[in-house]
This record gives sequence, structure tokens and C-alpha cells, in this order.
Amino acid sequence: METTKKSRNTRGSKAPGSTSDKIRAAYVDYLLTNGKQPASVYKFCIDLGIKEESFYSDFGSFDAIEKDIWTSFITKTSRALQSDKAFATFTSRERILSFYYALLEELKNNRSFVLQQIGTFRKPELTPSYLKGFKPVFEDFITLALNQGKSNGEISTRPYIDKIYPQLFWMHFGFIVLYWRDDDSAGFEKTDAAVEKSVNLAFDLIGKGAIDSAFDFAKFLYQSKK
Amino acid sequence: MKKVTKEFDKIPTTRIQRASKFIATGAKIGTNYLKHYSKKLVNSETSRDELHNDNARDIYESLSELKGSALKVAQMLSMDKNLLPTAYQQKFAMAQYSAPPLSYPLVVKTFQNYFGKGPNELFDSFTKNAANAASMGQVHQATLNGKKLAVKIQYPGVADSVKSDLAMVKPIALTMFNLNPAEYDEFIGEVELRMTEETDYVLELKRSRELSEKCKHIEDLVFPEYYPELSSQKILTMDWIEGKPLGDVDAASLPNRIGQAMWNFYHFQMHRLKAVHADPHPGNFIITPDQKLGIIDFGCVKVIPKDFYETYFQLMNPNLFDDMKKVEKVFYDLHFIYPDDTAKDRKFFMELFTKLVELLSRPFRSEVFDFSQKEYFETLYGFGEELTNMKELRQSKKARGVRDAIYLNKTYFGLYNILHDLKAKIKISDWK
Repeated sequence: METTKKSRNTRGSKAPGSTSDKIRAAYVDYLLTNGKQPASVYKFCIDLGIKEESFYSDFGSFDAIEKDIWTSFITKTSRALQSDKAFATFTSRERILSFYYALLEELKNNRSFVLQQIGTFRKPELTPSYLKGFKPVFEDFITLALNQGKSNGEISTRPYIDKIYPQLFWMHFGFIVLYWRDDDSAGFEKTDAAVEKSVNLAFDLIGKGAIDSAFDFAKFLYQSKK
Repeated sequence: MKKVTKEFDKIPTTRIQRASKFIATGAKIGTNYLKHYSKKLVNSETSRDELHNDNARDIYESLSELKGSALKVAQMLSMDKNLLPTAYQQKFAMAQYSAPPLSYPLVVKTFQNYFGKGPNELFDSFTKNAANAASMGQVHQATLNGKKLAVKIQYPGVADSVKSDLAMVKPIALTMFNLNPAEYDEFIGEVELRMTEETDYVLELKRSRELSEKCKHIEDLVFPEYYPELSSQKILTMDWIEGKPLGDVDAASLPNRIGQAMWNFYHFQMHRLKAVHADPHPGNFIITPDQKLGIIDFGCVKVIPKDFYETYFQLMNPNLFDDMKKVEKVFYDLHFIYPDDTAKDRKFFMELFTKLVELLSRPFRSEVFDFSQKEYFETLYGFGEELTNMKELRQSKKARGVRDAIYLNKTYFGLYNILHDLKAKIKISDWK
């Protein structure tokens, strides 16, 4: 987690009411009211009544603000969970479930911003630029939870394949966010059900079971033919 | 993220999966019929029972994988033994409503949504795993201020899925349970209403408190206390009642007063409160260590409309059949017969329902009725089976019976069955 903190180009943990908080709030307000980024940093700073240099001392660009906001969603979630005493007693499955629920809760509090961000994305690359800081924290968390599962036998160790699990969970999370985007049920309870069911399925797949036996059998057939 | 969208578009949604499950079952049942008829060509002895057995197994297997309200409908149909051939009943009776349990994080989240706090902050202790499955949810055990509590939590999305599950079960129900479409719509409209109510824990809390308050004077009954401040739309908190579910104890060895208490409980509700706990299922009753009857689930309550009450309970009047004019009027009111029926139809259905009513109301024509009699129940089930296979009834375009009666019939059926298991001798008018 330390490395990701360092890689962030802001100091989001400053005291509340700091310039960076002010900039973030004003930026989100502008973005959601006007549906687009401000014309220039210059104009933005005049409207906000701050000097341009104090903007640049916190953020390099508007995109950097977006990235910072996304990163703060996930670091906040991750920190809140780690500090919860009950969390330490959870199984790997429960850790990932509570991570998803807490993260979705955080996104829910900022739903307009999130929808605006997902909606404007056009480039056909897998990870949008504003998620560049978000993704490593996400994968770190998943990796940690999965390693715990591997050590207690909840998840079966599969050489090579299990390396891409965090990547698969990342795509799975993409699916959940898109589901949540289109969810119109009260309190997004359908999304809750989707998380529950899909994570259960994921853990059934990565746990010891049919897949391992299939591999084992295939290996046996291959070797006994030789 | 567009690419991501595309990839995920390929993942089939659960609803489609569920629907295809039904289609697969339909195909299998088709094969069973084929098997049945080809066997019949060779050997005309092959009984319909065998076919029913095959079908019941396939339906049961696919429905038990469904684990939603569809399974509940199947179970309800199976309880209503009038509607089902024996083979179906036996299979379905095995089915317990057991969706996969809610994960603990989701339980915590549900608490946070409604109380802003997790269960560990609200209670002194709270079990991480569910103690029991409940209707459309699960029960956790908790303690607060030295009291043991039962906390029921609802599955998310259950309320929404009721309607779509019921829509999916329709084609199967029509062909497999031998219902006619008019009857089915009448049936399912009422079922949908009750099941939607069952997903509303606020309503359940209100009814539980009202009904248990009004019934607590009845001897040998135990009601839990309910805690509104610890309940919400999806969470219901009540006292934990010690003991074993009625289904898990040797019913025949229980004292007669348990059966009498149950009889009194139901008749007090029907006649005095005009609202009745409409789910007499052995899992909904607890036998406490001092052998009293604990009543725990008021999720399904049928409120009896006044006009309907007057009509329906004339059927239980011991002197009903003294006056056939009156009988005819009651039958018209209950839609057993219609004014535009042909004379032949009317005669047929008059005789049929007279026999049915005579049979079902037999306990009311004595002072003490012995529910342990095997012959009575065999006649009852036998007649039910006869009804299901009756061409005239199935081909009738009209619904024979009214929707308000569905849950009352179900209640009586459940009650009779439980009393039969208890081998109870009931003083019929004791509740007054």
C-alpha cells in the first residue's frame, strides 16, 4: 500500500479545508454543473479566487484531480476495512465481499461524479486514465485477500493461472460497476445481489474443486499416453 | 471501458439462465411423456403413476436449483394436496426453501443501510453464520442485555424477483399441475399478493405484534416479543424461542393439548380476528422444552373480508345440507357453480362440491373429532387425486372457487395435516 501512496501526485491527507480539498470540490462542482472540464486552469483559478501556482503545487492538471478523487475512494475504503477489528477474522471470500460493498457504498455517495466519469470515457483502452491510481490499490487489496485464502486452503494454488486472478477480479469489478450504473432498484439492492452471487461463483471457481480434478485428469491422460 | 462492456455483455444474466432451466425441464418432461406413451404401446399396464414419478423428479430437480419464489410456489402447490398427484407431493414435500445463505458482509451492509451501524454495535453478540433459513431470508442469533434474540434478514432483491419468478412458473404449472388458465390466474394473483406482503417486514412486524397480543390469552401458546427499534424493511428482531421445530420432533408423542392449542389458535383468529396466520407448516411452530407451542412466523397473514367470511363459513355449518336451496346459493357465491353453466355441468359440479364440502367439514359435525383416523385422511387424499384427474374440472373454462378461499383452504389443509401427525383428538368448539 505504501508504494501506491507514494505514486500519488497529491497530498490528499491534508487537514480538511486545505486548498487541495477546495480545488477538488470546486472542480467536481464545475464538472457536474457544466458537464465538461473548465476551459483552462487559468480561468478555473480566477473563478475560485486562488493563484494558479497554488493549483499546480497540488495538481498537475484537471485529469490529475480526477485521478486523485478516484484514488481517494479506494484508499479510504481499504483503510476503513483494515482498521475494523472484525475484518481480521474474515475469510478471503468475506474480505472481498466486504471490500466490494464498502467500495460501492463510497461510489454511491459520489454517484453523479462516477456516472459522469464512466459516461465520458471514449478511448478503447482497458484502464481509463483516471483509474491509474485506483487500479493498483484495488489489485493490492485483492492479492492480499487471495494470498490469505491460499494459505488457509480456501483457494487452490494453480501455478501460472492464479497470477491473473487479480486481473480477473478487476474485470469483474468493471462488470459490477456497469451493472450498478444501470441498476434502478431501490437502494441498488440488485447490485448487492449481483455482487453476492458473482463473488460466490468466483470463489467456487478458484476454490479446490472440479477444475483441479479436470486438470489432474487431463495431465494424467497426457502423461500416460507417452 | 467500452471493451470491458462488450466482454461482460456475453455473460448470461441470471434471469436468462433461470428461464433456460425451465425450458430444459419442459423438454425433459416431454421426453417422459414420450417414454410413457411408447411404453404404453408395448405394455398397456404402465401406470400414470410412473409417469408422474418421472415428471415429479425432473420438476423437483430443476426447481430446487432455482431456489427462489418459484420453488415456494411449487411447495405451495404441493401443500395443497387437492391439486397434486401423490408422486409430485412426495417429491416436493422434500424441498425445503433453502437459498444459499447470505454472506456475513452483506448482512453487515443491510444493517448499515437501515441503522447506520453494524450488528456488532447494535447487539452484545451476533452470530456470523445463520442459525436457520426463514421465508425469503435467514435467521441469526443475537444477544442484547442478557436476552437471546432471533434476527431475521431478508435476501436482497427477493421482492423484485417474486413477480418474474411467478411469470416463469406459469407454463409449467399449467401443464404439469393440470390447472386451467382461468383457475391459475385467480390462484396466482392471490399468491403474488401474499408473497409480496411476505417481503415486507414492516408489515410483518405490525401484524405479528397485533395478532400475538390478541392471541396470547390462549392456553399453551408462546409468542415471542418483537423489537420495532431493531427492525426495518428487511430486518426483523424478536425473542429467540427455545425448543425444536414441530417438524423435528416425534409429533405423535406430544400431549393432546398441543393440538388443541393449535386448533383454538386458528379458530380464534378466523372467527374473532378475521385475520389468520396462513402458513401452518411444521417449520413455523416451535415445541418448547415445557411442551408449549411457540408461534414464530406471521409473514403470511390472510385478512378475511367480511362478506366472504359469512359465505365461506356456512360451509362449515353442521346443518348446511338440510336445506339444498341454501347450499345452492352458497355454491353460487363461492363460484363453485355459475348461473350460465349448462344444466348438466351444474348438476355435475353440485354433486362434486357437495361431496368435497361434506368431506372437509366432517370434523365440524361432531363435538370431538379424532384427527388420527387414517381412513378419513385416505378418503380425503384419494378424493383430491380424483379431482386432479377429473376431465370436467380441468376443461372447465371457469375458475371453480374464489381467490379469497385459496389461503383459507391452504390453512385448513395445513392444520388438518398437522393435527393428523399429532394424532390429536380435538374438542371442536373449545376455542369459544
